[in-house]
Amino acid sequence: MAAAAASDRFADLYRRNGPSVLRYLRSQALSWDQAEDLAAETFLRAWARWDAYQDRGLPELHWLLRIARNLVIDSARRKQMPVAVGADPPTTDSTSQSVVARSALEQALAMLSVEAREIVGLRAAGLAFTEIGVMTGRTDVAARMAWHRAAKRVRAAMEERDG
Amino acid sequence: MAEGLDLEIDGLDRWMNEVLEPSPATIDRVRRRLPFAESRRWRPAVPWLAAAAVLLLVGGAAWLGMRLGAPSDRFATTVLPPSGQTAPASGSAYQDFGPALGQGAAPTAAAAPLTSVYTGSCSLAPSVQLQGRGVTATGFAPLAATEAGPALVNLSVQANGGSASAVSNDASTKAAAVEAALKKAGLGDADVQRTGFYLYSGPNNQAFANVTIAAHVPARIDPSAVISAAIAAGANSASSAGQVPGTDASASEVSSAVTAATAEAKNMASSIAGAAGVQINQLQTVVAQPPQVCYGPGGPQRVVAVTVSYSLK
Repeated sequence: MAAAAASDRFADLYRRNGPSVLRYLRSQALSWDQAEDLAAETFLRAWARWDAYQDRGLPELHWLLRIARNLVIDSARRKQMPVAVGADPPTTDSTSQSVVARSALEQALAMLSVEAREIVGLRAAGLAFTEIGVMTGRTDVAARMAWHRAAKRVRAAMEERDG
Repeated sequence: MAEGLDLEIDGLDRWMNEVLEPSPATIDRVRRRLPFAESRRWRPAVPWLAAAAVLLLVGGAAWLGMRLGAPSDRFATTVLPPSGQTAPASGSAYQDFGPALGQGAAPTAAAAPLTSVYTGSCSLAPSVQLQGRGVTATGFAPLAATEAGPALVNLSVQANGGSASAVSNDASTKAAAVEAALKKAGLGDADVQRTGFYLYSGPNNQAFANVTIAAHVPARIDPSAVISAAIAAGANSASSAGQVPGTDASASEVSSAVTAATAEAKNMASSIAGAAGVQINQLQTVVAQPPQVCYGPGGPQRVVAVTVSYSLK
């Protein structure tokens, strides 16, 4: 009975936060297939740590985004992908979905620094600039300006590509 | 000055969310890979009663459709038949054949009559947002379909309800059986890839394993037959995006589609502004997305999307 109740609560957690976590992961210069894999893994890890989380009282989306962020870092390490400024855009593989998913957006996001991509992702997940500031050690004004610069750069890169 | 910046930030915010937004199909696909996926599903006490209710609903919907005339081609509904019958070769579908985790019985094709299908989706309908200082609209236009490519079928195999090692072994055995079935259905070794193996220990010492398998189905093979074979071999869920159209549209085809999408976006912006009692004024921004695949009623379709913003007067 207790397990079923925990499972129900967790299903609600996914319903509330699944789209935000997916938007965050898609903004991290991953293919959208990878973003789906990491979203599933984010919630599986959260499920495994559910008891510990409930004791801490952290906002649930912040907690999930931290797990997702660690998975992105782990994923980059496993693939030995450079994640610094000026990293090469991901190469296109042969699967049909990847060809579709690896859009100009993905390449534009890959041009950002890790910090800028993080801010773009947190904003895409639905956080306020004040929350982003707290999570990234900035003032809300600095977070807002950093996001503005990054978002403009992404859009400009896509417009340039489209001619 | 600050007001201009606010406006720009609002516009960027909307644009960024729009391009990153996952579709309902994506959200559901992830959900079904989680151990609690089945926990809230309504389970009727009398299965035949549920079947009768579904038939009643489907019949009623069909009757209503006939009464109201031809359905919109943008939002037509496609229903895939149960396993064992012929399914469309293309189209976006998600099939969930698995029993609730921890409820015992192995999934079989015969025990899988329920199919949910996503309709329209992928933002094929034009969208428009009217706010205080401007209007933003997105138009879409299809590209002519080229030769079909392979279909990608994503499968998952799950096991739970025991020790970590037992659950892990159980999932591995099931995954191997599914992979063997895929190859027997005509896929080559390189077409079948195990893309993930997840083992977790959850609350109350419940171990859960999820194995994901990707199958590239050549155009000569019917993806629905491959899915049926995988399900019969023990896969818990399968999703297929259908056959993705080729990607070699010419520059002039893309240019024509961009022109059509822009005209649609402008038309939508103008219509909504007029309905709200204002008029569009100067063009502020035009953003054209590269060709992408969306899933419409006729299956995967390549489209271009153009977003325009106008000031108002």
